[in-house]
Amino acid sequence: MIEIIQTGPFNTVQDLGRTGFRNIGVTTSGAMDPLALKVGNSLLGNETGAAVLEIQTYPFKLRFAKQTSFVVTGADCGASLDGRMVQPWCALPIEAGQVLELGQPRVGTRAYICIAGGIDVAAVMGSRSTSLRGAFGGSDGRFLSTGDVLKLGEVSTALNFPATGLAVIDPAYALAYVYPANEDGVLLVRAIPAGEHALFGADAERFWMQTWKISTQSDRTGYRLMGEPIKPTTPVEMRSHGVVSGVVQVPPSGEPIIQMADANTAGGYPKIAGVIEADLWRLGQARIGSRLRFVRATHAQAASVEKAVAAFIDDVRSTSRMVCDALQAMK
Amino acid sequence: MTKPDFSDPAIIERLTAALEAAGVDGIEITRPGQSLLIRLSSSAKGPARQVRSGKTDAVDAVAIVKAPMAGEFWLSDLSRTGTPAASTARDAIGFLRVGPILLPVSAGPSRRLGRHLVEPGTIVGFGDPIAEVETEA
Repeated sequence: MIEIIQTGPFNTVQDLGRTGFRNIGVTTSGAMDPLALKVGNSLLGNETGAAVLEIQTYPFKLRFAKQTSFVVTGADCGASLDGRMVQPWCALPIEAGQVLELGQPRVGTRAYICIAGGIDVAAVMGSRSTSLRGAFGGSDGRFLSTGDVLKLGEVSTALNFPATGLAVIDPAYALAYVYPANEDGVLLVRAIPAGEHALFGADAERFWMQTWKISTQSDRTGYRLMGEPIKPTTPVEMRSHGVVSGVVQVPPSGEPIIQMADANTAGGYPKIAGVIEADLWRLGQARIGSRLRFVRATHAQAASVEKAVAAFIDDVRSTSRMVCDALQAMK
Repeated sequence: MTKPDFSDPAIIERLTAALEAAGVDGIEITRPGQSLLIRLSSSAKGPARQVRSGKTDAVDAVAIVKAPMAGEFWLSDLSRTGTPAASTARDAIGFLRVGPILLPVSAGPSRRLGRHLVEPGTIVGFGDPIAEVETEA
């Protein structure tokens, strides 16, 4: 078990989300940075989609009630264990009673605390993710609060991590060959033109060319962008239709909205683009007020990046176990 | 093989004789725990000797950290922050990279890095010396 000692609002239990129910209005939810979740779980030997804690307000503090192992992935938030600094992306064995503390992120925005066995809250509609809008899943369908006690799942074949820990190379470094580097601090996000792209005429090009700023009206549901508005060549009235995370809609104000993990299940704004799935984690770590630019991509490119990311996660899982086993054999 | 005791007068005498016979001016031998210095110089009164032999504190002060397994040696954790290695073991002296995995290598309790014995990017095998570490005062 773990006990939450200190937390701000908006920190929740998340897994990879609740798929298959958007047709009845149930949003997917899930981690805003699914790559951090997958890599953390793979390093620990958990199921790839095991439930973790998504931390987006700090400071955050918890106490482990039993001996286990954990890793903090995603944002580098100067984590410490009993006051000793913890390296980001490094799995460590811990004893009962030890206290993990996360401070303000130095890089990124959302940290993921992954624990061996995963967070064992009840699955609702096949997922342990917190649905804040529906007020179900996770820890009673709400944010974590001080005093919460959460159970941990059973570990079938635990990895024996060395006392110094076992780290994974930061995916931002390891996968740099498939992700475009920031340009002058501007995050490059790849997207594919969507259904109503052509309706924007010349403004469609401005959508791709200009730098957008993530406004304060942004959360797990969506990021509202600020910039020079873009408008359809003629006013458009559309029926509501299904949307998914990554869809970029343009409301009448002309400033786009990117649907994120808690995306609405339907909407009537014209869709100008769809962010490729493999780039969504980078948006999940983007700060309010930071700038981004959309880069036009193809389906083939999107598939290629997904393949590289999947191979990296598989490599983390197999190599982590191999190294732990080798160290045990050489003792 | 038994290591010679450089504080043994008989060994010092034999080494000195060998140096004189070879026409060598001197020798300095240092190893963990012992050091020996023999200097020979000629003068009008005949050959002079300067001998300094003794056990040092080095055996306690300096130790070698060996690779706990094979891997590629790195100084930092290759993170996006670019900060120096800062594992939970504050005494981390580097990392062994195996594919996407990094194994922090520790200096050991109450020890700090003296110097690295391998360059970053070097492939090391199990047991290869990685660094000299010193006992913290």
